[in-house]
Amino acid sequence: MTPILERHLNLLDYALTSLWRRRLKNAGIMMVFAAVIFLVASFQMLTRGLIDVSEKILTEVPDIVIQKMSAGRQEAIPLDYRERLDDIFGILKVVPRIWGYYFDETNGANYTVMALELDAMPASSQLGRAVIGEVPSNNLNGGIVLGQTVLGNLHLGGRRTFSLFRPDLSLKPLRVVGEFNPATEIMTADLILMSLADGRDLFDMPPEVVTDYCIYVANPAEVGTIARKIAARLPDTRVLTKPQIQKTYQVIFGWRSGFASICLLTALVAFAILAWDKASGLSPEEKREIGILKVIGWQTSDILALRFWESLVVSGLAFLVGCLGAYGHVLFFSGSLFRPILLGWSVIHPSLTIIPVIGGDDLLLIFTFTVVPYMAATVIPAWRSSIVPPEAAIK
Amino acid sequence: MIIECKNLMKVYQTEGKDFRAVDDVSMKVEKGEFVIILGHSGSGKTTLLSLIGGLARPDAGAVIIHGLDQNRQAESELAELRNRTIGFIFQFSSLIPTLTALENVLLPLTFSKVPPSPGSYDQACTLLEQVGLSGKEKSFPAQLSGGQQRRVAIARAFINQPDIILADEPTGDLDEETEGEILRIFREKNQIAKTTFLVVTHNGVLGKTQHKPRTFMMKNGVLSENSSEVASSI
Repeated sequence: MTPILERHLNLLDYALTSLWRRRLKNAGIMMVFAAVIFLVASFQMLTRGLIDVSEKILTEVPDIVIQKMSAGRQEAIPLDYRERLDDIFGILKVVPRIWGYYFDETNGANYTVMALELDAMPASSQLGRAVIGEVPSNNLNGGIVLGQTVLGNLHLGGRRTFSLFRPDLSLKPLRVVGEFNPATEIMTADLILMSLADGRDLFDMPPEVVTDYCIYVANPAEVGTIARKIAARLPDTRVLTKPQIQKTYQVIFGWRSGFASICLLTALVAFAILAWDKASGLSPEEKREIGILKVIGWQTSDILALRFWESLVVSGLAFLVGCLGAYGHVLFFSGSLFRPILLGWSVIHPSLTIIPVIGGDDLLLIFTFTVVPYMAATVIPAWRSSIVPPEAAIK
Repeated sequence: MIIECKNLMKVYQTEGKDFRAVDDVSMKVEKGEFVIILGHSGSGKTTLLSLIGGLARPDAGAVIIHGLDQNRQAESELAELRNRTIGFIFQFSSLIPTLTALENVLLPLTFSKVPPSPGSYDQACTLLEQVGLSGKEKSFPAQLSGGQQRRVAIARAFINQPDIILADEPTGDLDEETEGEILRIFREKNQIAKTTFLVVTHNGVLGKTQHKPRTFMMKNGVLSENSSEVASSI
């Protein structure tokens, strides 16, 4: 064994003994520290997990969505706009859609209703794969597909039929023909899918308008070019591309996570200040201990190495416990502590399973913002004490 | 010659004024000598001991141990000197509170070039037995009396079999029986192992317990070799 390795093993042994002798105090510090790391890591993992899930699911959204705008607000778009897009090269399908919200007073829930001209959907559409059961036909027959949470919320039991109110309070009978795959929960939790005809009937919309158009293109690389052409043809519309929608979700999760991270950072800074205050105010006993160690032959570097090992053991254990706790929190409890912050406080929460996503860069980030400040807060004061002559430390 | 002090000077600032704690002190100590430095409280004897032990740097002059000038030694060399060549005994409790008596005694070996071995363990137990602490090996400092803590520190000073023992009021608050036992150990180490002792005390009787001690007197930072009559008058 090399002398350096033996020296550090001796120091580690001394550090572990010292930590064990002050186990109550150190366990307290470690628990508080682990809790802070748990909060930070939970947020990081949950955000990454949600972005990951949304990226997978958003591959199913249309390549382009067109909405008519008037005075900066969205309004119904005429059906004849469709004809003005016919000769744009690269457009595979133009699918009219009615998209709206239905408030269920009985359950106090707000559902998203999406009505499509389903037979106009391109063959490449993944809609069929997202649905368990049948996809509603294009007729006015009340066939619908429900998201898992809506299904549970309606308390249908074994029934497959129920009714929703039209604007004139007459009842529209509906029939559940399928349900959305639970894997798509983040996007379909509160969704009711029906034919365009049924949607028009439910919302009592005039036959010549829809809420927006879904555009599917042959070559995804041309989405931007085609969107620009559409915008030029239909200047009174807003043209949203799939990458833009994906980016929006990332920004929403990123913004919410960032906002929460700032709050957590405050807690982290408070902890660092506490650690610094505790460590920089070395007690006379601790200063004397450093002096005694120097008297019997320890060097400044030995004192620093000792403090380094002590800090590393405490903060490393806290890091491990915090990160593992955060992983379990996201994996087994779907990040339930923070999910409302990231997903919003809507009435219906998606009950999807989020697989925590954590990369080396995330771990490095958390390590840098937690372990490193703690080690600095404990090692630097020890260095300040250990560079003074031992005579001064033991007087 | 094992210790040589040349024109040592240590000045402290007190209320904006210079205070010469050690003032132009020169002395030579041969291997195996038992040197007693007498003086009142505040006379500078503890500061002199710190300078000789390399615990503080002098403002002027030099301390030469085994022919090596401490001023020219790096921190690591001074640490090695404190670890291997010098054993310290202080007037206050100088134990690590979180270690047992036995661990405290073994502590200097942790970073010694001769690492702890089963023989070291036996040696530490023997030393604790010699200072009357047999059976207290696993006691923590808080479980020991002030005198017992002092004796653990004495045992620790001898664990590396140092050439020099620097002791500051080593029997200050010990009962007569323990004091006699400690002084007997000092005499044995001095006579048999030829360990050099440099003891600062205000106890003039200490010299009578040792074989041919050299006695110095320190007053206002100035050191002078003294006769036994003066020493006994302290």
